[in-house]
Amino acid sequence: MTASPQEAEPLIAIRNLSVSFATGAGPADVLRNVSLDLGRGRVVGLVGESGSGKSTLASAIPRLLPRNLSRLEGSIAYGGRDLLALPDHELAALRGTRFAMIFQDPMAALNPVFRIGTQLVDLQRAKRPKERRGALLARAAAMLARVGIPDAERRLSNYPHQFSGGMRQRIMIAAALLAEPDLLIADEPTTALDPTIEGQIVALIEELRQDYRGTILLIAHSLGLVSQLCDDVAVLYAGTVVESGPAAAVLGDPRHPYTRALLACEIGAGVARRATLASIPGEVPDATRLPQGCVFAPRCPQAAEPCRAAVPPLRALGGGRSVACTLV
Amino acid sequence: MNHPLRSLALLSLDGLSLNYGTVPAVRAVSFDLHPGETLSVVGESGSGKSSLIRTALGLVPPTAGTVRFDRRGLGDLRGREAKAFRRDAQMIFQDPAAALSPRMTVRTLLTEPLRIHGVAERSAWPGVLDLLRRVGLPESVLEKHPHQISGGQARRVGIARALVLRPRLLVADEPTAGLDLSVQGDIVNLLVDLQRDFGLTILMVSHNLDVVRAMSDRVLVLYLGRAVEVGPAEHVLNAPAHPYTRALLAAVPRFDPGNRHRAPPLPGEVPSPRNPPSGCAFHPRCPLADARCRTEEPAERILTDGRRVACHKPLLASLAAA
Amino acid sequence: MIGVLNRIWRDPGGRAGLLLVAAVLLLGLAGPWMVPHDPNKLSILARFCGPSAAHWLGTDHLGRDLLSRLADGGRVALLVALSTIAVALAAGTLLGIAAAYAPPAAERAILAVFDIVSAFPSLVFALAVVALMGPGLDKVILIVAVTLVPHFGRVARAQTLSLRNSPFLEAERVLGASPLRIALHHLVPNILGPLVVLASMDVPVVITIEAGLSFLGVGVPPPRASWGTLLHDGYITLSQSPWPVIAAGAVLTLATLGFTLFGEALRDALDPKADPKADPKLRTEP
Repeated sequence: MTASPQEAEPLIAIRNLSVSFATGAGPADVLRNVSLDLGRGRVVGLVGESGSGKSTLASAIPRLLPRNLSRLEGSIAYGGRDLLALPDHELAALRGTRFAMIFQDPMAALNPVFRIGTQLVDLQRAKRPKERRGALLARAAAMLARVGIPDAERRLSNYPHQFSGGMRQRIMIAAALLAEPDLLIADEPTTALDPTIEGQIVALIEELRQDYRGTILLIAHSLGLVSQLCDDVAVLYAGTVVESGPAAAVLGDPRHPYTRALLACEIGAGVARRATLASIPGEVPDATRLPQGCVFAPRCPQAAEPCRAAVPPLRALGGGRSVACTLV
Repeated sequence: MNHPLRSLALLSLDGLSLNYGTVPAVRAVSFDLHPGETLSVVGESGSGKSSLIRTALGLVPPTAGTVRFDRRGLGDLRGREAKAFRRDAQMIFQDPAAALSPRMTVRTLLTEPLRIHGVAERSAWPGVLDLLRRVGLPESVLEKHPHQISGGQARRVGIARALVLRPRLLVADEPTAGLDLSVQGDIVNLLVDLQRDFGLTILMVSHNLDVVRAMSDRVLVLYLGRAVEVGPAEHVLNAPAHPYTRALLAAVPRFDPGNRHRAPPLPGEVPSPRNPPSGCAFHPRCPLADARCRTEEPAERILTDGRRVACHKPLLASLAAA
Repeated sequence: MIGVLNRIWRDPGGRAGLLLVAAVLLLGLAGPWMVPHDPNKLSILARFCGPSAAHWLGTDHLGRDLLSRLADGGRVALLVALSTIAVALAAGTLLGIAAAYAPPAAERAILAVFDIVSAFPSLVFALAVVALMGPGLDKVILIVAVTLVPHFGRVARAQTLSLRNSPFLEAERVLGASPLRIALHHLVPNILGPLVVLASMDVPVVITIEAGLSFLGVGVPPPRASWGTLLHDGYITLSQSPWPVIAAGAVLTLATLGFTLFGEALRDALDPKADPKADPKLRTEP
């Protein structure tokens, strides 16, 4: 596609993706002209606040969008095909085999009335329809042990409620990896967990990178998590990618005023007691009433006339970085 | 008990324990909270933080020990005195939208405290409007119901509501939980400003150690219902004495782009209070644990910098000499 | 209130229910001033008349105007239904909330009483009471109310249990609100929705029970009209004229249908999740 020739072709190339939903207050433009590459074997972080559209972007790839979808434009290229143009049954075949998802609340994704072993066997059926149940159970046990569940073989006969929140998230990771997906989408996988357990999951994901070579799309609102885990990062604001590129570059030397403002909000270990903390004044605009021009202009300290006139396109800066700001 | 500082404390917990049936949730916690001070309680889920603050607010009667507010034991308060305590001690809730009665407008929610305490609404209303401005809400929210306002607005309504009666003690349960990074600082700034202007004493519970660092004078670290470390915030957070405090601090993924350095995570999970480990409750997860930790529960000791630590092998051996 | 009625009106079943309920209310409340004849005036010459300009629905075996008697019966039906349900709703809500907050032993006792009461078929219970104390409208109301209390009590208890630990109730405790204030101002408004729906769906049940008791001759004593006695008298004289049974049966059926449709629509209208416009806030993050 538009990737420069010296770079390897990305696993997934999202181009000009626009998604709108019908609401009581009119159409809500949740994603506008989003372009993003998910490189092979990379951990890509999606950073953004509530209402930025990051979850919608993640669910648009396997096309798991809510029913009030009113507009879906652009393209998502994967393996030479456009996922948005694929018939439903072909896409369904990709889910759970090529794409796997883990969520903030693992309980919502596990069926409470079936044993963990049964669920992990069923998940593998799509890829291994002929294999014996015993062999699939053995693979499940090995994967549970791999993600740090003690006494894995015995625990296969337990039900989801018999595990703690951290353990359930480990099970979800095991379930996702059993499918050996090309893309693992992790939607705020540690948000509901205690920091200590979050640390364990982060360490686990890092460790799994040694033998899982697929791409991970990580949605997170903790900048610490993103800076520790991600190779690349895309910053979303009000449905627009405002900045993207290698994590160290974007987070270490942010160019977009929104990225800068957001990073300034991070409270460091050096904060003085009762010091005035940074925040971004104003609110994220309503997706049914987006401002003219740059979506961040109403809250941007540097906004000038041209910012309010036209939407700044996402421009390449070199080094794999892009930014959507007229002032950069 | 007749310690000179103690008599000045606004809130004073002495050997406070709370059991649910036979399961201990809080075990012999003591601390003094002085006027104008902020004390933060930190610890993982299941450490007993909620039980501790609910007992401190008199919402649950303690199994053992006492809570004193302004030198009066909560258990002894009756009638008018009990009601006065309810005016003096207020709380902001972790889930602010759920803590607002769903069928009331914001206006009713803000005048409800006045009505409960028989304060003349007419004379108090300008103060309420002033408070509304202080917390950064437009008057247009007054006619809205809780489900019609945003989460951030609900949190501000909760703060205004807690302050309508001009309390002396404010208990803040996870005041920044679920907030976006861009507004988190706003809420912390607001609480710090309100504390200064209203002379509030704050007892806070938070997962977010950065927020704790930005707000607290003192920190209390809770593990399985027990206060394992209590002391000045800058000491506890910068040079923890208890291995658990150190592990909690190390668990937060640091924002440090281009520099991935992670301490090995704390293994295991908080054990069930139904079946607590022998000896020191933290020993199964502690990298320093030895035979003594497995059998003997450590007594609390006071370090030379004034903090209290319940550990056989505190990390700051030099301070432990006292 | 207006919003709820609007939502009921938008639902076809709800609209039919609303119209029928309005018609029954009109018939019951304004009927005596609208109908052309005294419901108890006999006219031996005009027995078993079919519908005519003078008697729109015809007359019964004593020559009384059927339309007037149906309107009068409607008054009785409404009086019995509304007062019965009001009593049962109030008592059931109170007992249900009490059960939810009571110590376990008292809660079990209240639930046991609920079980015992609802184990009796209300009609048999009513017959037993009437056999002991003689027929009468007040007894009908009392009997049916008692048998409906567990119905409301159980729902009130379940609703209270689900809300008992809500942060918003705890917030009121922190503010110093008394338990009574919390119950009346904050708990009851939030559990009333399902109870009101239940009440509206119980109206036809009570109407048919009253009609049944009157049909059996143990409800409303003659000469007072009731849909049940009209049916009964019409049934006995069915061979002479079908009109009394047709008229009384149709009114009873339409009233029952109306309240049932209304109740169902009310249930949907009060459920905020069922209405797309109730929450205009956009959910972009699942």
